[in-house]
Amino acid sequence: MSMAVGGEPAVATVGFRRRGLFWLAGLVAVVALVALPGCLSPKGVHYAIRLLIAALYAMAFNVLWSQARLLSFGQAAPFGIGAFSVLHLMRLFEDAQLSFPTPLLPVAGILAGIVVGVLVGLFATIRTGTYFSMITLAMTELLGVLARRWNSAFGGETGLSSMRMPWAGLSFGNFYEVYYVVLFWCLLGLGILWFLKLTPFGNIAAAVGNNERRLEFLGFNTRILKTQIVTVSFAVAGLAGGLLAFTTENASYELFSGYTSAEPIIQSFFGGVGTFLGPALGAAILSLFGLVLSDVTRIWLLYQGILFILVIILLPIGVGGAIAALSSGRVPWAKMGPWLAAVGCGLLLLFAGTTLISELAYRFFQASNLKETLDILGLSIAVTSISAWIFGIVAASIGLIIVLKGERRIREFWASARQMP
Amino acid sequence: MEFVVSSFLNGLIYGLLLFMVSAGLTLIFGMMGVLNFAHGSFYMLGAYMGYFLSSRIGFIPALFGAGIIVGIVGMLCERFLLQPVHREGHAHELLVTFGLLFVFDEIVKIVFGQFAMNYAVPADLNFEVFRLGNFGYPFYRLFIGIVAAALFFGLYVLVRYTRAGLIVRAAVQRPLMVQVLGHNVPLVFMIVFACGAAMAGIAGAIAGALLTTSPTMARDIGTLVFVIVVIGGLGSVSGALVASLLIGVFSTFAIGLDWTIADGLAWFGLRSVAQQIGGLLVTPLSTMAGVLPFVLMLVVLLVRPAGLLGDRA
Repeated sequence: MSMAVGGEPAVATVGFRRRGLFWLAGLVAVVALVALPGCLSPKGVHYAIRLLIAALYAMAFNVLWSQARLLSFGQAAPFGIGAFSVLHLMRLFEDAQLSFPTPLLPVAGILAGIVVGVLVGLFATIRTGTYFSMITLAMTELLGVLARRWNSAFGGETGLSSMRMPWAGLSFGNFYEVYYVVLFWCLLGLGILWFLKLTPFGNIAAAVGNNERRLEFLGFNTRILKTQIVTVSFAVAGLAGGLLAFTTENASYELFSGYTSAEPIIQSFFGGVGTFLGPALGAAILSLFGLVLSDVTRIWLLYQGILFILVIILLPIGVGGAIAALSSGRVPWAKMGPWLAAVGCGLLLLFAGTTLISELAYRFFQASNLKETLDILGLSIAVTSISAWIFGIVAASIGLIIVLKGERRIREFWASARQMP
Repeated sequence: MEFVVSSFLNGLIYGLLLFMVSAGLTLIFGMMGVLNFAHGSFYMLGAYMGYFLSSRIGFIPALFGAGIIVGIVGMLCERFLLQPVHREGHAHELLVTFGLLFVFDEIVKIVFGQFAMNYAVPADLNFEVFRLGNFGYPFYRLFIGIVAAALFFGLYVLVRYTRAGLIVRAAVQRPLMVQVLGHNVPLVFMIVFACGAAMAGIAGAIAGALLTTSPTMARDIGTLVFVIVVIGGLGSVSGALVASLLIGVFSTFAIGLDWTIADGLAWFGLRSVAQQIGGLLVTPLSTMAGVLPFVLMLVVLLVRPAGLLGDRA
């Protein structure tokens, strides 16, 4: 596995001009994020908040994987505990009618994340590899069952709710004000993670992933190191959970489900674990994909699953990695162009075919009467139309064959484009 | 006494059922070093295939049919989705199986709907074998045990005493070396993957009739068989058998017992204190049965990381 461990290779190794461009791009992105609510509806702002939180949460996971090669299946533990501690703090001040700086509430999430991180880290780092993953999974499951039973602390089926109290003349009653609080904390979290990569601690963390045994021989206590890395990751995950509770003013034991742990893993690999912002990009794309598509079709999880598998096979370096590779200027277009075009066409055919079949099948099997039609692109297709079914199957099969034929070439392409000067 | 005997029998049968699923998983892990998240999906697909086929070709042929179909599905997944990412490392293979979990869940929901199927034990297998106090013991549970035992025996003989089994065992240990010796290792991997999937499929087809056949069954059993495979030792089939039986018996007993921590503290005269504190101290063991496997796994990982019968840490 020759994946770039840690760091943004395109940034770290090139000269002053690229670096200046990089900071400029970062500044533009921040300004855009600050200006964003101005051009969004309240619903849009709510979506934007969810994307920010998902991005931060995925980044927290990737600290563990991209640097120390620790695959945590237990990210839900700090996320959920972070959410509940912020919520408890909110309730405390709501009941006591005390004035607390409302924007500082998410700090409780960070602190809770640190506590969980130290506990889980000390246990899980006893073992490595798959065993580390399984210990984090087991501890999170235990926590989930505890939360399910312990109603006074976790609120049972309905969960706990609270209200954001007004502070310093701000009501925090609408999503616009919440957005800026969340944005501030997310940028702070990203900044800390970026800064940590540049410190000696970040370098040693990357060394843990590269060659742990060698590090041990150099006299480092890798178990303590790994516990520290887990703690950093969990602190940020706790912050993300706290921000979620801060936004929704609600938390329930559902937060500890396996899906909460799986989300950041999926999103990080989708976005590219080898680049710093890849996980955030993946989280943003997939969250938006889910939010938008779940309004359009009931079976959006199918599309997400297929999309995810295709990305893992065709873009092993993730979307962010692909962007970095393409912008490196070392792309052998002449050699690879035709293959890219062919696979692109194959993907289009595959996409059209699968969508058609899946939507027809959903209506065919789940409708109470077979008179139902599929209305798509201005067409109205009867679910029993044999020609539509044949068209879908043929298109999907041809697309699949093309993609599978070209899959190897495409991955060679990424490998060659990835090699940096 | 009746409680002990019937719980023990039920636990044993449940354990054998779990073994049918986890045997394939542990073999696949030993071979490819990847935890297959889609393994629970193969179990679920088996249940749905069993349901679909049993009303058309009869129950016993449906079991074989489910095994064959799910085996073919597993083989196609391995060949066309897992092999391409093999070179990218374990994380990518794991993620592909993860994506498959979602895809299979949704496909089942599209075709069969959200709700549990009306898939019941066939009438000619639904009779009492013997009486246990006031309760009759159903034959179908014994049938599960017989099928699982036959599968284990078959697998054992195949892996242990045939030339093909020799190659499989060698490929699990040193895939590169076996390839250098002129064997088609990718083909071996594909066949083993298919066999593992087929076993999970048969288990699903049998279990679906006794338990429920619903779209959540993949996730319900998925993590449990992971835990079993880790407890037994990754890659060890006999370890998976021991761990399955252990988990099966333990959780069946736990479901039937309403002991609480407060009961334990009562030995020290602290019951009233415990009851005042409430919460977890008065939660009966039966409601905590779901966490037992995880507790067991934590203990095993901390005490004996290679698993009960595993040989690599």
